Amino acid sequence: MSPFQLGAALVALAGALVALSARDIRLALGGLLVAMAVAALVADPIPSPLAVAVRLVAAGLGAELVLIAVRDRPADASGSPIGPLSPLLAGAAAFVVGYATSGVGSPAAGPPAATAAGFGLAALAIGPLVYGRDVVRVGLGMALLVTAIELVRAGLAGTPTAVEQLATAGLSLAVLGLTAVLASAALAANHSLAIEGEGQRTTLFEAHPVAAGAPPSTPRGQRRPAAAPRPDGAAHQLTLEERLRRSASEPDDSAG
Amino acid sequence: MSPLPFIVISLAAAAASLVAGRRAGPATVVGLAGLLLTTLAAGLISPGQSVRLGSSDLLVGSAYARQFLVLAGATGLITCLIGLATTWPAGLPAAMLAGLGGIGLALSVTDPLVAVVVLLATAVAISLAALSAPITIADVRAVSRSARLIVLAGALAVASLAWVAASLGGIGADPGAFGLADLAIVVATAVRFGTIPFHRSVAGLTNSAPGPAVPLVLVWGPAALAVVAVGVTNGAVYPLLVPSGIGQLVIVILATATLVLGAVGAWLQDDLEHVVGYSIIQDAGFVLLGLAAAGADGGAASRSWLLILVVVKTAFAAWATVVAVRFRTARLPELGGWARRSPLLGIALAGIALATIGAPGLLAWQVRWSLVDGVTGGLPALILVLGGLASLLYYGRIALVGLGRQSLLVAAATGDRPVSPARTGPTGQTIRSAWEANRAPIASGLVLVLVVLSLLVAAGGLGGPEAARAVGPLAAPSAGPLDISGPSFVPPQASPSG
Repeated sequence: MSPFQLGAALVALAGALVALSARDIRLALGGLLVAMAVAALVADPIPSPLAVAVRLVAAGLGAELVLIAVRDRPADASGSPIGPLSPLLAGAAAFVVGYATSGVGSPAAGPPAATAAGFGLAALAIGPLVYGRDVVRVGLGMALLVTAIELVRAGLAGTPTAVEQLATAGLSLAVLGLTAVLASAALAANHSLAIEGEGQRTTLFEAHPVAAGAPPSTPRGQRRPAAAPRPDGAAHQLTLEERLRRSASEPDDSAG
Repeated sequence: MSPLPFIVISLAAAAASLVAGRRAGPATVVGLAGLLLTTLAAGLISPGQSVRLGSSDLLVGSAYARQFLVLAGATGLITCLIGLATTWPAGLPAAMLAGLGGIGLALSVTDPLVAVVVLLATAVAISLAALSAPITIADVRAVSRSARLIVLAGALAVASLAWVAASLGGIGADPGAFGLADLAIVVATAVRFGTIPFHRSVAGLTNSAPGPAVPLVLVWGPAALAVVAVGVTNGAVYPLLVPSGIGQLVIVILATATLVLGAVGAWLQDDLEHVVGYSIIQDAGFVLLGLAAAGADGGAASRSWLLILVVVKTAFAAWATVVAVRFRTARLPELGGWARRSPLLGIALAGIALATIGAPGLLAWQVRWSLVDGVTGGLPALILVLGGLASLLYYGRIALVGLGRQSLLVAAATGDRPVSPARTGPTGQTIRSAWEANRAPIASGLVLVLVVLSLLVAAGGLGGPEAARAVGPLAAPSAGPLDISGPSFVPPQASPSG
């Protein structure tokens, strides 16, 4: 195995680890970009510069789309919930397994480093893909799995043709583009990237605030009178921002 | 004509539709015109016409790809017209055009790995069609889950194809590897269709996707992947190479569970969109049987069934959309008497059921029997046949509800009788008011057109069986590393020396 391929495979693995561990979304996307770009080089023979450039441009464009979708919003990738060490060990173990089983019962037409890196990336990607709770993390998992499978494919069946490289670039762009659209939609709908579990409440205030203290207690056995309709309609459903805006626009009763 | 003009037109029209998407009028015109042009271009594809890149064929036209694309394009156009009369999802024509372009490319390339990657990218892109305003977090979750399954299925298919390609390129491969790889391709197809037990995402998608987008997301893409799977496996590998037929057994069990439980699932659902989703799942059981059937006959039957599936399920989804919009509810308990209120839709449902199940003498019936016969006999075959006929359960339930007493919502809905507009203004205004006043009968009539098309395909018309028997680009002698259909192919056996 050539040192270049081994080095490229390890760099791809490191990039994937950064992508899944970093909490800063820019850093995570940078790691993903490195992993996707370097993965194209782990093949024997190395693809043409044009093919590598196409895949690099597609990955960069896709990462930029995700960045645009979450720009100016308080949204960060959640990072790995179990820290970077466990994914690192899992990825390293899968890397070794992939290297040792290159070909998997068939004569491999590509370098073992590609299969090894593919297994490593797949092991890293499965976690966020299955258990990911926010859109960007799931998207990173999908993009890494696509990269992983392309590496495994290069390890088993040799260097992809130029047409397949183009199709793979389109696939990367489609996955990251989908992630960008979903992230944008999740932020618009939920003010958060979370799609699983308890998301952030869209109503910032509690639904039934106790404005004037607790209601007077009712003697036992006596029915409480029905509450009068609220004079301000559905004001209790307004967000904090809407309440403040309304109170600023209304005349101050206490002044008179 | 080669498939290239078709692909260029569909992708260019998709881009134009997206660009015009901010303005409803131009986007609609561009989208519908694009679909019409795409359908016409699909009809001009000539079998055997190729586009060469260097010394090898890049794209090859085939009769089956032409048939598939013409039917998908025509049903897509009619579905969009139905959407125009009912609920118009803004990005639907663009998504359909992009989907058609991707499917056309995948069905024309000679390299199966490229075909699968293209289909994967197309499926990921068009899954956005399931999002329509106002987008809720549940919609985002449903699309995200669906995309995850798409990527997983694609990864499985690519890995297995690469595995087989490596084996066929060399010598001394393990025969069991072939069977496992083919099994993996079939499982990938099952995951894409959402068959039992991979059906969880289908319910979410049917909840979030607008009705007209359901066939695009749940039928067209998976069916195209199944075509590729049939092309690369050709149904000849399982009996030869899977040890003790275990692979075939696994597929038949999956298919049986899908046929029976899919029908039960559809029968239990109260929501029409869910019924459509589960009916797609159920009919995908026959696709699995086709992938398990041995020989070229199995491949032809499977390809015929896929054509029927694409048209019939598009018609069923369109029917459900029209019912939901006309009666302002998609829940069966609230749809009492719908068929009495709208006999056109009643006739349409009967036609859909007939096209799905078939009758003696129809292609759909023969194909179902052929697929069951191809994989098993005796009691298992009887179970499979009954599982297939179990779709009568949910069609019957819908029909019974439709013949019952009219609910308040149904009674309040407009009938099938067209209304003549008042001729008070210029011709354009009269046409517009006629369209507005007659949306319900127009939509029902368009559903009937889809049903007639379905019946034609299910009866073996429009050249479907001939196209299904024709050799596609993936099974052609020049197909490359995965050509396993020719007489010269000898399955590699484990050598005595190991």
